[in-house]
Amino acid sequence: MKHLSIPGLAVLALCTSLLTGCGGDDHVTESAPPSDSVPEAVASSVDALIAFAKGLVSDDSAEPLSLGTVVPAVDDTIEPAAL
Amino acid sequence: MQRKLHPVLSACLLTVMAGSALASSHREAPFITTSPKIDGTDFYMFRSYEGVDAAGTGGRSDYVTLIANYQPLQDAYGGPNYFAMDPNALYEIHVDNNGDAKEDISFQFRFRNQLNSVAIPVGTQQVAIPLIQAGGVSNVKDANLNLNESYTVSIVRGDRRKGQVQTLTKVGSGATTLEKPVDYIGVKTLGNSSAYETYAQKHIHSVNIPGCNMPAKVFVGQRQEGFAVNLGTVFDLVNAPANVLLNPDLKDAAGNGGKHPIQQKNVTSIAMEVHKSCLTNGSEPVIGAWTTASLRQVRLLDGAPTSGHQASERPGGAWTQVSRLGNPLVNEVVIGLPDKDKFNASKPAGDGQFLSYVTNPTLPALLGLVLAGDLKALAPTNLPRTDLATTFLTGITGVNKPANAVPSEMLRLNTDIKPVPFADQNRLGVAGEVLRVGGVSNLGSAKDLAGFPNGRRPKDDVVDIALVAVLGGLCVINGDNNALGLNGVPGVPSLTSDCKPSSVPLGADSAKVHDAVDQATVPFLTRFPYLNTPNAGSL
Repeated sequence: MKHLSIPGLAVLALCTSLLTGCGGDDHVTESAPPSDSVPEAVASSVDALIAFAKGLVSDDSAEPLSLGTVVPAVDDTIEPAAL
Repeated sequence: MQRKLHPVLSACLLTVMAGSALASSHREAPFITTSPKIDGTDFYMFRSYEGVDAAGTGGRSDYVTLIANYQPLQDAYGGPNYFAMDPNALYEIHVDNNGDAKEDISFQFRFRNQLNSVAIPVGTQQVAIPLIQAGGVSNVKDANLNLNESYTVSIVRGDRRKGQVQTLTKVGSGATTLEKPVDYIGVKTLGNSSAYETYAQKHIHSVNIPGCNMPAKVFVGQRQEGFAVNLGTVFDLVNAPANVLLNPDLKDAAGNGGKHPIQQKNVTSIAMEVHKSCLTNGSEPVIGAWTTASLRQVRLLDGAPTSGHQASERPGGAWTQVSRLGNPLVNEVVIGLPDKDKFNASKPAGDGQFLSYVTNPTLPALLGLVLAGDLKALAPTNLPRTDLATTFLTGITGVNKPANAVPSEMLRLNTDIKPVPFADQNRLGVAGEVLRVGGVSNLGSAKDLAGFPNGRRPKDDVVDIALVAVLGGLCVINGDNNALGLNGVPGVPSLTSDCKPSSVPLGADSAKVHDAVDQATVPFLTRFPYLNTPNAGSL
């Protein structure tokens, strides 16, 4: 896997919709830059999922990241993370 | 505004007004137009009038019916997938039973769409069919359905996310999965209208609500659009002569007796009938309610989805509210375009941020501009509009205001006010009844105080009522002696106005305003779930 620069990450075209929310816990740490697939960490915690989504950049020239078998983490008891 | 508007600005204002007006809550905010499956369109709450006698007793009179409609303006022929609910969404009905603007009870609906993978032999292979049905359908979980829709219902007491969660169960079996009928694909698949209704009513479930001694009813399914409004005309800069809109004899001039174009559309209803004792709190008879829909905050789209049903999406994170609806028309004709998405994401407890839209409404000014060429021509002068703030944010004293009301927008129902049989209901709700008996001083003669804004029934012509209200009709009724207490807002002493007849440019004519489509001509059922059998996709 070749190393991607931060600008290069812009070419990763995961079609992600990050819905705008308000309030809630904002203790979200930045995740490692995505490669060509969604990191399995997004399945383990909502914080990791939000951090991953925040790190995505729109790009018209890239292919979607592979989701593999990853099932994103969910939590019915929290409010949306602030963006 | 003192000076005359520039023509271009006028046109822009008219466009904004026309583009957002009077569609209850159909496609009312920018974001929600991208997600029609979770677009709440209308919310009803009323004491059930099924089987009720003239005295308001008997039948189902001790129950409250709540109906939340979603998926607006469905064309019945919209196959082959039709209008299944979103299995990746959370649909909710919230009830505040102590007036503090926070939910005390929430009913949560989660849907599951089961693909049955019906395949037929083609040559030597079994090949999956492209349709959701493989033959005629007449029974619950019919073998000919390729897609079975079902759902669960939970009750949350307290905060909707952190409160106590319990699941509703079917009476008898104790099952938690409730079946939803397939949409009315057409008469060959599902029979005529009567046959479809028979099929649909097999999906009315009697359920036990934990903590409630009386069983409830639940139904989710497609219904005919029951909201009556002159939609296209309104969108076209209120393209109707003012003398028509002010002539009561022409109140259905464009309605065609309940066959207006919008009645050719369908919606999907989430309907519940719950004993009132299970919704109220102690001696407080007034409940407030609203519906919301939420999506997971993150939605990962799969560039290589697996085989299955709606397999392209993998949601995650917290539930994020994107649709909110209590009183009709609020996010259409009250909230400004920049704040419509914000309103849909908001909670009643935070409604102070929207107060100016209520106290200083744009709609009456825009109506004056559209119909009379003058922003001031029709707009009542009692600013801040305490009459609207009271009606929408606290409830009316003696009618539907809880004892301790925190101003907030929700539909409020006084469960002590008896229901009225359908035939005797006043289409203009409480205001219409007050006018019918000749004023507040004659309320002792009133027969129907069970209509909007004291809850909302299908027959209540909320468009006409809203037009009457925004153009000052309530201030005419309030009179010079503040008979309805509309010169102030309960709990907000800083807000006062002169809500009286002389503040209303239209004067008594404000009570005559209508949109030329009569809600009372729309066909409804007189039993749960009240909204009519949907239009068929083919005849």
